[in-house]
Amino acid sequence: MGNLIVDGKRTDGRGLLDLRPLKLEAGTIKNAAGSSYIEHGKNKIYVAVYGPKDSHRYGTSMEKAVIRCRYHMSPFSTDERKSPAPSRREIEISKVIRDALESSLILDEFPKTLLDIYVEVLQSDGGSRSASITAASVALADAGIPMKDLVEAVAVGKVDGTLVVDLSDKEDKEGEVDLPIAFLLNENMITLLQMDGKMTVEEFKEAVNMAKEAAMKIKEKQKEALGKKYFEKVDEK
Amino acid sequence: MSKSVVPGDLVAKGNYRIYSNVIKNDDKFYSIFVGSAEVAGGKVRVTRLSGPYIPKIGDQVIGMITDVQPLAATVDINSYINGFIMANAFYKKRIDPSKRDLSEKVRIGDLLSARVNRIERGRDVSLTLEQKWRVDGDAIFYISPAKAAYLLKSKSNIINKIKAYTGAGIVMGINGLIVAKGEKDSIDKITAVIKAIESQVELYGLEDVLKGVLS
Repeated sequence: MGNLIVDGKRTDGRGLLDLRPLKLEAGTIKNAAGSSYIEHGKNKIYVAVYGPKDSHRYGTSMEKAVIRCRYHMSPFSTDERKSPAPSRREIEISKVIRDALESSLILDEFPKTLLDIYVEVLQSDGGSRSASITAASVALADAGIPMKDLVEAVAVGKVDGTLVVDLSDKEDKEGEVDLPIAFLLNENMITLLQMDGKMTVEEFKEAVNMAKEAAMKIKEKQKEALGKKYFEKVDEK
Repeated sequence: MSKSVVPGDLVAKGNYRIYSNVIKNDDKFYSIFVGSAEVAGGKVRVTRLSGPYIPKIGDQVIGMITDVQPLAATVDINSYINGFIMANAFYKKRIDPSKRDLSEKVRIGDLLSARVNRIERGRDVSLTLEQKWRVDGDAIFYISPAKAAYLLKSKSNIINKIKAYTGAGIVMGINGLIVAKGEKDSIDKITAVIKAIESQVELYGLEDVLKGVLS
């Protein structure tokens, strides 16, 4: 503790408000209706969306399509082998990803159907849930699911008593506060808010504003990824 | 003049009464799909580039029979929902189920050309048969429903040009199914055309690409 920020620089050389390098691609899995791949810091995550598909199972709704989300970390995604069985943490993250995306989607056109979102973490770093949400939103847009806006998520936190944006794994573990937030910017809505640690009200307000600034940058990347797939001329192979 | 948009992009601002594939927030219209936006004549419209086929009344579709029961057949129409056809559509009169069975007319795997007749929320889509409903073919192709709709509605009659170029008999549904019938040579040609359609992601360059292939 106490050496995560030196002279306004973080352990990986970033400033307090800088994001880690972010690479986003749409349409990476041909079999899926929509898909995406994100590299955010050391995170490497594939997202595939299947559906909407006709279903008569228990749990479907006459009102709208029902989303099923599976967040899964590969056994080789961490330093030590992770058991491939779904852990408590993975079940929780599946649930929060689903909730964060659901409020952006317009699903009442697809009654009695299921929409599957598979999130597969190949390599994990801090903020994998927010990277997953960012990528899943692009995959859903690629699948042609109507949505109010793209959802972008980022974690802010407190490290050495200072507010910083986009926590790395080390900062997440050794810092004081971790606060992942997902935004629907057009609607001015927050669709995910979790907090681990303690903050004052003023710090919290500032953290939300910092996250919003970062979300705007992430949204540009999302648009770029979709634009690259749909609007750039492809060379004939 | 069309503009490329992704979900959440501002398409237009102001007082428009007629709009499709956008969401209205005060006086702003945001796209809900990846597509091309057009604002003209008091209308705001986004043509989507991806997504499943969404049935609309009057659409001509190509379906594959997936289940045959005495009085109705279930049809896969390449959508998030199935279609069905009542047996009397095949016989053009009421039939007595104790004497007749639909399995004498169609089998699982048969292809047919049909029109969307009725849509009820949460139920299978009701279809009626076209005049020449039985579709035979040597090859089936799937293209994205957005492209199928664009090709069928295009004013330059692309489908006829493809037919003339390949020499194959082609039946196409707005749901993205293309059934081709012809010699091996024709089928090879149409495979190349379909490949060209699939490689062009953007809708508004599709005609030029096809012209290049067809010439």
